[in-house]
Amino acid sequence: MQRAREWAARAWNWLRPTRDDADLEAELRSHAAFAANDGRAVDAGVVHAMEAMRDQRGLPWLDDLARDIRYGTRMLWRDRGLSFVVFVILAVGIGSATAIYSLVDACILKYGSVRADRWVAIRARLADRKTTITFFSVPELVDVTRASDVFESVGAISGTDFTLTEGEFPERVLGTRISAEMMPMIGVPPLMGRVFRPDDDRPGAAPVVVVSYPFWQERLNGDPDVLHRTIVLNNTAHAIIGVMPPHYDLWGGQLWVPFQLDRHDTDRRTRRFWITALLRPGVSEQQANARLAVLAREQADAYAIGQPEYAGMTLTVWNVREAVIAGIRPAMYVLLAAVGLLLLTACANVANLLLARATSRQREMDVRVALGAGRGRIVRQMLTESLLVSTTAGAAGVLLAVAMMPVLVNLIPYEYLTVDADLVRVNAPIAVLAAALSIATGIAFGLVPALRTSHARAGGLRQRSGGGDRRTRFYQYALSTVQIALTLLVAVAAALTIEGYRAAERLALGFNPEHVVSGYLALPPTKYTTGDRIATFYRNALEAIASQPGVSGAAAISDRPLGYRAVDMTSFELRIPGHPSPDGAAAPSAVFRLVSPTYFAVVQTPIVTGRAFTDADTDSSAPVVIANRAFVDRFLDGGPAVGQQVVLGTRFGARNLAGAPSRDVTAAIVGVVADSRQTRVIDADVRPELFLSLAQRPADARSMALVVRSSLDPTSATGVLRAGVRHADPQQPIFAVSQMTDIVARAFGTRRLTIVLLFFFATVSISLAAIGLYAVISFGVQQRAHEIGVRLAVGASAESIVRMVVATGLRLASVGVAVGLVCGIAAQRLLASQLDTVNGIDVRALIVAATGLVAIAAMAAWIPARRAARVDPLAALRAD
Amino acid sequence: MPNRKPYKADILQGTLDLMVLQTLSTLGAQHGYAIAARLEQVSHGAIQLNMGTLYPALMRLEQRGLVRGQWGVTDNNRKARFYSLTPAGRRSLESERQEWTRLAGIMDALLRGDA
Repeated sequence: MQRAREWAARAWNWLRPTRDDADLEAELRSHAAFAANDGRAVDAGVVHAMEAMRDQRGLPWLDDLARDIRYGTRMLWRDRGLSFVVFVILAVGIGSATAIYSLVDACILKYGSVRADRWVAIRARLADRKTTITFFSVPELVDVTRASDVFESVGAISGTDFTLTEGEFPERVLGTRISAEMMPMIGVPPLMGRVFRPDDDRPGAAPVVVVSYPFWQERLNGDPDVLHRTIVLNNTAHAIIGVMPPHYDLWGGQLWVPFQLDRHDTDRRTRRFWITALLRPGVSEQQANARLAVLAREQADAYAIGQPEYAGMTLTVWNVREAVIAGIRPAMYVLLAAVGLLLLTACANVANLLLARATSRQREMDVRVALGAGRGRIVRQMLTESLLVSTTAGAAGVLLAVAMMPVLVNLIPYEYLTVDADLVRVNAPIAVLAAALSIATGIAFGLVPALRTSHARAGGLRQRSGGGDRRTRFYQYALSTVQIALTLLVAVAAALTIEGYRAAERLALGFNPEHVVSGYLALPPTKYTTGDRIATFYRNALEAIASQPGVSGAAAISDRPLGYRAVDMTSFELRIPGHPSPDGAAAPSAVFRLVSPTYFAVVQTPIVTGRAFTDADTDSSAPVVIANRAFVDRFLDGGPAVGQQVVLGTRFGARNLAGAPSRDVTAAIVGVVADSRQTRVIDADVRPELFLSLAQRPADARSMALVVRSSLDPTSATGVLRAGVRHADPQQPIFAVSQMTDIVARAFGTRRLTIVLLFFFATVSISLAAIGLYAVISFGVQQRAHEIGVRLAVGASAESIVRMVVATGLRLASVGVAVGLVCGIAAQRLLASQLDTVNGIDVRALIVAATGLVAIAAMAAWIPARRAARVDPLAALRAD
Repeated sequence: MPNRKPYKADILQGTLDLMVLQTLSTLGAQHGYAIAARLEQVSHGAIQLNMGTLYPALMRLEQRGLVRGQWGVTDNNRKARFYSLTPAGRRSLESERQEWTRLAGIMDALLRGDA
């Protein structure tokens, strides 16, 4: 208490002394007068006592600090060019590292809700160890729900398309069917209204819908009275009971409708939803998997006789966030590595500059020590100066990061931002970390002159040495070298990624996206009850489109190339007579796609051998299939394919869209087509595919994509596509209509993002390296002014001086590049393992990066070299 | 930063405050010189406080609210700063004195038993 009071009084006195110096002195003088009266002389003590009282009165170390700051500012101002460079480097380094890390953090590390760590999807793997099932049936949901010892809650979810009848045309909206458990599982409360309750989710309950914020804003005009409205989905009025907040994302889609599953359903064959679950806190994925293993054994014992897929089936959990971000993870790690390199470069740079400065301050330090300054005092002075620069630079860096975020976010294609743009914010902990690292560098290297002064003590005042001693110069050069090596690494990473991107662009797509538009259809099962009706629809629509002027062809396929559907619409157990799986390996598995006869002609996928489907392939003719090259290479050893029989076994696993399970069908391969890029991950290996004739399996064709090739402009082509569908069925919506060229461009999105960011890094790193080299060399020139003056005085030409200085810069750059190349080759190996398009050592990327850097180094050295050549010999000599 | 000289006798650091408070308690309000003179007298010259020790200590006590300093005039009509105990200072002195006595008693008993 008393202490606190003392400090409060001192703090107050520091601001505004309650007793001024005159008052203190008067008291001491009166003491001295009393002493003199007693015949004692104590006057000498007055000065010392004054000092002691002043120290006791206020907060002397704060006074010292203020003095240090004043002095430090003056010193920094004296070397303002150098101080400014240090400031800029630190600010840019901290700023960009913070911005990039924040972006990566927002896109990857923070994806999903706060509970994302515990949110898992269930997946089943069949005994063949290859086929994965992610769709499940109601009894299976009930089975998993029983494992309540590991799962806090279990729910069903499935993305679906709905027909929204609102206004003139029916529209297709992407929505999600969910069980009542799903929304509470994620834990985000609605913006308005409520989420589903268990009684909304009972079979036969009144139809209700929860809409997304964008749907509310755009489709319902942000109507504040929205909770009293209904919307017509699939011809049924649904009452709107809730609006979710902006950026809420649950399985995509714009609205959510309760599943209303009948939990007493015993049909284990109709698998139509994902099961996701929330792990109980503290339950690991291993524990959950162990529990699911028990469940899978129980299921196998009970049902494997009727449904063989249960035999040997394993169930595992799969973190939802992991599943979503897996695709962009490698790119993000490359970026994080680049952030690290950038920050290291900045630190090396600052260290270097401070070393240079330390050299020039040596004499000042020696003088101060000689005049009696304590070493502690000098250390504190140096610290103050370092901290002055590094803290202001840190603050500027954070501001820079804040300013950079919107720019960076805008560079990212929308689809690849896993969170909404305005959710990407500067990450405070990382800003602090980056600033702390830079400040630590500043402190460490700012202390050098003070520490070296201890050597100076022994020798007394030294003669001014030209350009610092050899050790300092060694450190300086070493740091420059390290910096250039690091920069080369970043440059190489950028060059490699760009090279990889161009390689991916050169990949044969296997189809020609130019002048093709496409869109999706989903024929409602209530209306299209038979295969005949479905077949008639496609026949009418495709004929109507193809008959339009300018259209050269129209076709249907289960999913357009690079399409969004992750799951096949059809799936079979496949056997290839005469080609047994070698060594009892897993049964062949292929991707199945239904196509109309003209599909390959429309997208211009070449037929390698055999024929395409024709109108003669109907449900009354012999079943036929077409294989892609990958299928032939993988399962038929590349041998003759046409005429080969394949057996399509009873389906399992996939969404059951076609009603009754089919029986085994034996079909003959009639043609082989070239491989084409079908999946969204454009550079993934092409999977074995089998194409089935739409006419032979119309019942499987409710969800299809239409593709139209025409010489029309995109708007007219889209109009023709829509008109054709309307002609076949005026109520049938078509959705996600896009030009194929756009879809191809989007498939390159993540790659492009990485490139943009790496390019940004490379630019910043190279600028930093150039600034650093420039500063070190011009500092050297300044230090060597005397020597250069002598050289000029004895007849050296200006050109020879320029050559000498530039040569120093080039030597540094070359060594740095050499070191960097070695690391670069190692880095390339690492990248090659991450990005499948980077193959081995790309000599060209290395050469480009290396020569570019040396050229920039030469530039950075040339400017101070010019200045050196203009040194006035007389002035330089006089200066000493 | 000014070099602070160590106190002449380090033991004074802890006890100086107590001595000053006790002196003020005994003599009432006093100026610095009178306090120093009294301590010197009582200790038979063993304690000679210099100004650099005494005045910061007085300032510290004042900042802690244990004493109050005021300019006044001595009997001889000379200006001096007089220090007097505050109620808090009186309480502090009491508890410090008890503490000291207790410690002294312990030390005394210990040393006697040892001998």
